[in-house]
Amino acid sequence: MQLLLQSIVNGFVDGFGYVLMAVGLTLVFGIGRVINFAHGELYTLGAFLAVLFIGHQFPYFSTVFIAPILVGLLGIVIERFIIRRVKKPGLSIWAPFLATLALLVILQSLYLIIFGPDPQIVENPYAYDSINMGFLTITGQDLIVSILFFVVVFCLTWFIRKTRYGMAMRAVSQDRDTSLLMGIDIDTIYTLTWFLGVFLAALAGVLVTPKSTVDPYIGRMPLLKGLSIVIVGGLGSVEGAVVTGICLGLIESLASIYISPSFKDGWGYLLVILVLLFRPRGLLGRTVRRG
Amino acid sequence: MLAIEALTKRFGGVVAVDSVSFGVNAGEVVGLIGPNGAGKTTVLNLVTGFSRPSAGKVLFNGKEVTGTPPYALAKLGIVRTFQTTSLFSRMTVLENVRIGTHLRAGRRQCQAIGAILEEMSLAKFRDFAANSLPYGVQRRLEIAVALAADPKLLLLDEPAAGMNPEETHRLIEELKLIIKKNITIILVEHNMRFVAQVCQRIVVLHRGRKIAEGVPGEVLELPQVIEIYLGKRRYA
Amino acid sequence: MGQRKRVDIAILCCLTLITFAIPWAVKSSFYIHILIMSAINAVLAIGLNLCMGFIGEKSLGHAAFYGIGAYTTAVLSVHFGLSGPLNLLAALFVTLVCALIIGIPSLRLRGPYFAIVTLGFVLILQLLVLNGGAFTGGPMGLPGIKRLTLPNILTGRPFTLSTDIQYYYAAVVCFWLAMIVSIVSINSRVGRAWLAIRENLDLAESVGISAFRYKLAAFLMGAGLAGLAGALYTHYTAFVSPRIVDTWINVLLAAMVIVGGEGTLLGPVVGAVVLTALPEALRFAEGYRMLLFGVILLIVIMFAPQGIVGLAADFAKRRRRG
Repeated sequence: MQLLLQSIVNGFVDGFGYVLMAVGLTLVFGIGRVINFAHGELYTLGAFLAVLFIGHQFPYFSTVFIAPILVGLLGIVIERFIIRRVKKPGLSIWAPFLATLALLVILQSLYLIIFGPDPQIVENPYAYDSINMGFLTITGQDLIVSILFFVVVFCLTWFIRKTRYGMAMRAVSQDRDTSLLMGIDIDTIYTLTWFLGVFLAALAGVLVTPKSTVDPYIGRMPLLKGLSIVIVGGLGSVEGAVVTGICLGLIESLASIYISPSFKDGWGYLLVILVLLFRPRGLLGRTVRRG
Repeated sequence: MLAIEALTKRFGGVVAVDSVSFGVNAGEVVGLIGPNGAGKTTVLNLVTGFSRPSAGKVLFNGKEVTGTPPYALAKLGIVRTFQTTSLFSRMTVLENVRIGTHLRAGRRQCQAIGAILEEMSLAKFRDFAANSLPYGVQRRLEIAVALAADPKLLLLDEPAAGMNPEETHRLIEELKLIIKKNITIILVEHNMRFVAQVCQRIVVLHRGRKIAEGVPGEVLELPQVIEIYLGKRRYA
Repeated sequence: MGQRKRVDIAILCCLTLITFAIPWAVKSSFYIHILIMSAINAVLAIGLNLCMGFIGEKSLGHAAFYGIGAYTTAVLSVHFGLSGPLNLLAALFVTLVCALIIGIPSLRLRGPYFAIVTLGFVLILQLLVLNGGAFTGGPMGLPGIKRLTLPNILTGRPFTLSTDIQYYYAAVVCFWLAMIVSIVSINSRVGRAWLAIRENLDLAESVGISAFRYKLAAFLMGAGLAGLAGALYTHYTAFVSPRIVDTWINVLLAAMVIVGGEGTLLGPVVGAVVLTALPEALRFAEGYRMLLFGVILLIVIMFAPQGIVGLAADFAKRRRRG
């Protein structure tokens, strides 16, 4: 029983991290129509920045805010100078997708060169504090992740529903041309979307660091899981990403106890394949199958 | 030749095509008209396999073909054109027509290509890229490509759209050629004069439903048909 | 038109000469190794080009077929002692079956979904291979694969390929097989159908071209070639490891096709040679090699999406006009 509860809690916490990655991806796709394959590398960047800052005695909480903002700025640069250039109608529609793949390679190799391949550890004061309730142990880091998760989701929802920019984003995701006609500055919206998406990825990276080591390759799994979640939840659907992300966290956690510990990472892909075969729209998505 | 029975298409809450039925006999030229949004192109999509009906049947020469994919229908002899200019833009006129003859093999293919280019007066544009042609010629090429597929039933989606009177006249001449080949034609159109000149029978759709069917001269005088285009108010 | 064909034939003749004559000029086993890997990568790239360049479906899982071919051969060799043409055929067969299983449901999907499913396939394959225990050798891989034994048609006695040069020629044969498949299919009705599908799918369907069937054909051809390449590779290195099923190789292959020039005949060949030989020749540290590779890829995508061969063709066209 204790094991069950603990694994549920762990599942939720993992899920929150996945959701952050997935929401970023789904926003960039839903609005910018680009699948950002470099998303995982931006997660890694968040983690490395955390290592750097905390290594230089920066307070943890400041890092949690500042690092993602810095990475978000990089996201703006990427959008403005690379993605925008390759979206021109003359080029193949696959150009942005391939460009993000190239970025993935570039970023990962930069990390390899600058930080080296060895795993690094982040000293985090909260990682060791835990609330021990007898039948359940919740670490301080878990609490931070959970609280931040709800804060982020709340802020994002408020932003998308209530602010002008948020509504503009929704408009662009539904109908780009009409949005243009309505006078919405699409370029700004794209840039804003990338900033948000990348911010969330880096945030996920920062939040995960205290629980595990950091090396240039840690971005791979989160990218793939994020992609899985986005597909299953529906490309472009934020609600879908949230629901699916948490479910995936739970499934992985429970399955690794009750079914098989080594297949943990495979559940996401399995879900994707099932969904794509039977309901390509995803749980809550819009884009439909051809023919 | 073609029979449509209670064909219906729902998109979420909207009923785009509501239990439409009509038939087309071999060798006829039938027009499908109606105001914008009446469901004409949807019916076309349903008949030609580009969309799956929510209910109803499509029968071709007695055999049910509901939901058959477009390429299979092409093999049976059902070919269509599209509302917005649809060509293999970066390929030449010759290559476009050649792809149209995909289903034919060997020497007959070469002969067919030459014949079609001649008939549709496209021979002089042979090596031009499709996207470099003037609009009227592009539309002609579209019909040529459709013809190249050796259709028995040809469905044209607004072939006269955007054409000036001279181009329209030319189109009518081309259609007459097609009719001579014993190809049955279904025409979706807006241009009333064009429809009246070319079609032997017309079917009128409004808001997804069929509201009239018959000879153009009669149907176009019917009050309910005039009403859907001009509204209820009488103009003095 | 006639002139272009003559240029193409001339290039192909030169290429034939070069590929068969190189071992006279190059003796160092290091360079022979690079050539072998270039040839193998070229086969992979040609296969991927059929899928990506001609029908426009970006497959992120092509390397999976390479891995399947490799592992099938390895398993049959280590556990069942096979090492002749039967082994190659088996690898081809298994690869094609897998391609059917993956291709049939996923080729109907729109846009990016196909790419993502192929990616998922690679990952599942990776998991299977890593957890295959003694059967697949797990994370350490399977060593001890027998060398390829082929029947000698002239003397009837089978001979075993054991030197690098012999494997080089085997790779060249494989390469030309891929080229022939590529050339024949592109210039045939099938190739024209592919181009039609790429240009305007709905229109192609309306004149009787089943997009799905032709896409499947390209996909299967590409997969088959990859499987064959994998089998050859395994016999050459006598070793196989899960690294072969890495997602990285897919990115590398996609890069070869793009940098060389998608949708062209020689593009994947050029891309394969450039992206195989160059990193080896430059001998940078791992990180810098990857960085250079990523930068080249990005530059090509942003500024020269037609690839090297595409650029050359544009250049030639402009010279002819002006």
